[in-house]
Amino acid sequence: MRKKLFLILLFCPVILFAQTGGELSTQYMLAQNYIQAAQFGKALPILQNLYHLQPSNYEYFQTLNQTYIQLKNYDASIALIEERISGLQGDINLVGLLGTSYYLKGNDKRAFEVWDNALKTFPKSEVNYRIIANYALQLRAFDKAIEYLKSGEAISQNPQFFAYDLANLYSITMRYKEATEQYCLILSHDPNQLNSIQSRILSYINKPDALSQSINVVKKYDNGNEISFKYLLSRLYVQAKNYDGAYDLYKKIDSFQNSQGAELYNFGKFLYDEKIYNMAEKVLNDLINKYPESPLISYTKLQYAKTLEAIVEEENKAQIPAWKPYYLPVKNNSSNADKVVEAYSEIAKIYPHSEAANEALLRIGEIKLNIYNDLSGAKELFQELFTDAPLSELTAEAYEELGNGFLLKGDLTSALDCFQKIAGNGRFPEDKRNFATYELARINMYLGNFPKAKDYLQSITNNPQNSSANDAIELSLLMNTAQNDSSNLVTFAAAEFLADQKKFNEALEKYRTVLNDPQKLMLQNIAELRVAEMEIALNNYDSASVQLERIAGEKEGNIYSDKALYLLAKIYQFGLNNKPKAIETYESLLANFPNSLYLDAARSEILKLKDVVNNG
Amino acid sequence: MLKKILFVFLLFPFLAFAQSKILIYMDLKQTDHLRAYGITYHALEKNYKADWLLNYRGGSFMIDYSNDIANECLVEGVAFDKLSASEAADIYSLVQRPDNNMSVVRLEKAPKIAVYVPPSFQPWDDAVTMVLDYAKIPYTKIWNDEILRGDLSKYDWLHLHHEDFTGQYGKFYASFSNAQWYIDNQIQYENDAKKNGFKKVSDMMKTVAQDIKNYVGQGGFLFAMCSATDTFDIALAAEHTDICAQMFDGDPADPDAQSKLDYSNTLAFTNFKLEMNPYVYSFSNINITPEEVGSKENDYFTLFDFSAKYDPVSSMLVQDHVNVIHGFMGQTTMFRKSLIKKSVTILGERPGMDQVKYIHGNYGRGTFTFYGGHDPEAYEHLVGDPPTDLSLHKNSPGYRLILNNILFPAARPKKQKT
Repeated sequence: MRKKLFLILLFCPVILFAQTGGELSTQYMLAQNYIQAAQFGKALPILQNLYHLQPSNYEYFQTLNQTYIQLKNYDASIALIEERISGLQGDINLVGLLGTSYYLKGNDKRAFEVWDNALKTFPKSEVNYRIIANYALQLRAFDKAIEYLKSGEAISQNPQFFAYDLANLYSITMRYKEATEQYCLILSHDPNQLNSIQSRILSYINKPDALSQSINVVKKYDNGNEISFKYLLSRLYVQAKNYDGAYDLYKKIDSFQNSQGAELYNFGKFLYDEKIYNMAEKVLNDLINKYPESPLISYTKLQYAKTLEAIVEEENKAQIPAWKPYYLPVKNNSSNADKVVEAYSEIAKIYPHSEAANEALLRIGEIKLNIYNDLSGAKELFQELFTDAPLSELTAEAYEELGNGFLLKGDLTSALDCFQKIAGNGRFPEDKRNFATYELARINMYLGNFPKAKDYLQSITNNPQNSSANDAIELSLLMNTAQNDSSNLVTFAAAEFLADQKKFNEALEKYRTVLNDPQKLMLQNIAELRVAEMEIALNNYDSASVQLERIAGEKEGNIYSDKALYLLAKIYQFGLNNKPKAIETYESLLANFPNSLYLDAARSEILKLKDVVNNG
Repeated sequence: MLKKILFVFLLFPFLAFAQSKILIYMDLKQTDHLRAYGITYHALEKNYKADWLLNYRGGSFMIDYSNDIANECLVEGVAFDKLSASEAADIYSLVQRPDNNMSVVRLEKAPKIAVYVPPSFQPWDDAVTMVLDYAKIPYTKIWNDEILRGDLSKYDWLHLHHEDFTGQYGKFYASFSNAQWYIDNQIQYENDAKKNGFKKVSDMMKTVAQDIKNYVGQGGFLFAMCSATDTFDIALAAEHTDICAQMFDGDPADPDAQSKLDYSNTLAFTNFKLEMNPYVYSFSNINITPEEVGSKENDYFTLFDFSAKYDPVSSMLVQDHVNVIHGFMGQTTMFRKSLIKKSVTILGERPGMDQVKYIHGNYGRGTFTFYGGHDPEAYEHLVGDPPTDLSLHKNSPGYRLILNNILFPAARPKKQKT
């Protein structure tokens, strides 16, 4: 019996406790449900009761405190925390919470005082500083958070422990110099962090002054053999468009890494992709000279050739008077072109019969044709391509280039042969075949084979989707309307052929013959325009202007009157550099030809010109 | 004889003056409706007389002829007719006939325009600045500093777009709180609040909203789009309570915020319910949700037809070449009709539904116009989407409504007979 009584007495508290615990748990769940429903007022008495029953339960304490805060009852929150602090000395988190409640109450001063005092009295621990800094950070008191982190850093054996946090805070408070300092501190201890740090720095360098401040800081750190700072600095130099500075650094990186030019190659390729061709050329050329035996030499040479070609293309573009419908060939300084040919030749030699070699052959042939005016040299090169890769798209391109070359030289038979080879090969791309068919129509027109030319044109116009359809329709119209005036059509075709050969004086004479023939019928309008276009090509702007003004004056009587006015404006704009007159002429086009195809272009030129005139 | 000559010379300027006009017609034949507003604005800047012919060919503009204006029309691609004095007189006579719902409004001066734009990067575009730029209408960008120091009085017209006057940073927290632009934006607002002596951004925004309301009361013209419409009224209603959760202003929202809203302080909306959940991308039930809008294909709104002679203000605001317009979304897409104050005029709505797109009202000596949606030519303009190229939407009826508001402050409506 005594034993039984003893057992009951022994288990009684446990049973009681279990019951109470279950009830408390239910009560707590109810309070949480109220909180989730934003009914803090209903949750409060339950939580107060729970906390009263179990003041040592941290969860009850925390939820009660949060509820006071949600209800903006900061005084109650402060009292609650202070009561807990008095019983639990040494808990830095409670101090953090107390400061938070003071801060939310609007008493920043007291909040900071609470935190400052705690950090003075608590053991000097970097963890304590970080905890309090986080409380400040949560309240977006950034300056105070920085202050605590700096204090923590000062007592720490491991300053980089705070560096990420500090750098982040500095960057969001727009103190980019300090942010970069912290990132450099991390990098100096752990170079493997380069990618992470670089991306963090790059995230703010577009902000005002951030780039220059960051460069200055990284420069200070780049004083030894630590490669990561050189990478970082070179990246910042590229952002600042200081390519020379970046190149110097890459040279050092390449040397330190003993990478035999691999780093420089990457840099050169990067510059090419960014269209910084002159610098890319310098880098790649240095690379070729310095590391002739590098495993990357073939790639480097190909990249170098492409870079030189891009430079030559840019030079050509700058010299061509693209505003003219026809223009005389531009004399090109071929020193760069020589280098391109040399570079491509080497590639063709290193990788014979490869796609790279084929491309190299095509490019060399194009240069020979378009810059050296060397048709036979180009033909010889292309022959290699025709044999090696008869079905390649590059071959179609080569035939097209060669066909154009023959046309320029006046060899219609050879040109015909080239374009037939493209048009008759079903493996070549459709747009190439359509263009070749259009060229075949033109050549047949030049040869006086008008029915055949019309057949070719019809095969293109049957499919209006293709890219040569518009040109084909225009030429068809001309030939259909002029077919009853065949003698003049022959003369006109001869003039067109001469114009294609850039024999503008002779073409001019022929066009005038068409104009002077009393039998002239439908060819008059286009011949008149062509006369003006030949005069423009020969830089005879005055006579071209007179002719164009006359055409424009015919208005509805001439289908090219709007185009004439547009060309006249171009003469004023580019040929005579008379901007006000150019504006006036474009405006006249807008006023007199409201349905012209040239309206948008004219509007755009007016706005550009007005901008130039107004801004000096 | 001398007398006759003198008489002719005396009349000459008037004859010359009356000789010709430029009619910028605004019906479906117009080639660039948007730039037509810019031309009219520039004509006013140059002190030409300009009339707005309400309901005549889509709300056309009649301007005194000058080569200057004609050239500008040509360059900008704005279609027009040159009219003789008698042709112009015929049109005026037609417009003023009592049996026509048309009217003439004389435009007096080019209004000074301010657009409220944060100086920081925003990953979305503002339809109004885009259309002003496209139409080449000058404007000044202002922000909180200018408003708080009283600069609003310098402007006739103020535009608000995708701003959040509640201080909740557009309620983008759930989706974008880690995005750099969001972080930068919040810092910028906080710094600005600090600089202007406010502890919380929400407090600063409430003051800014109140200043804008006072500007309207003193005769200003306010035009707001997208979330600037409802958040403006919410901020005014919440003058005496805290509706911002902790992540927005550092402390919790007032649990009784809803009951403490003061609807008498708002311009357009009343009895609305706040969305207090900070993770929900919505401010209140004023906005019509995408689910309620339904399919894009069926989203059209209709402009009301007002009497041009007796209600010229509303008429001006709905001038358009069509009266059924494709809808477009925004953070605030449309307004719930049941929550619009009775004093407010509904200009455009989805007929038969509780969905209103375009409203107008008076407050004090000024007026306000609210237009729901973000970009009339980008149905769902998402954060980070590229800007709309307005040269592809020269005849946008949705954008025209914005520009009506710009010329509206230039107008001097005729006094009605009593």
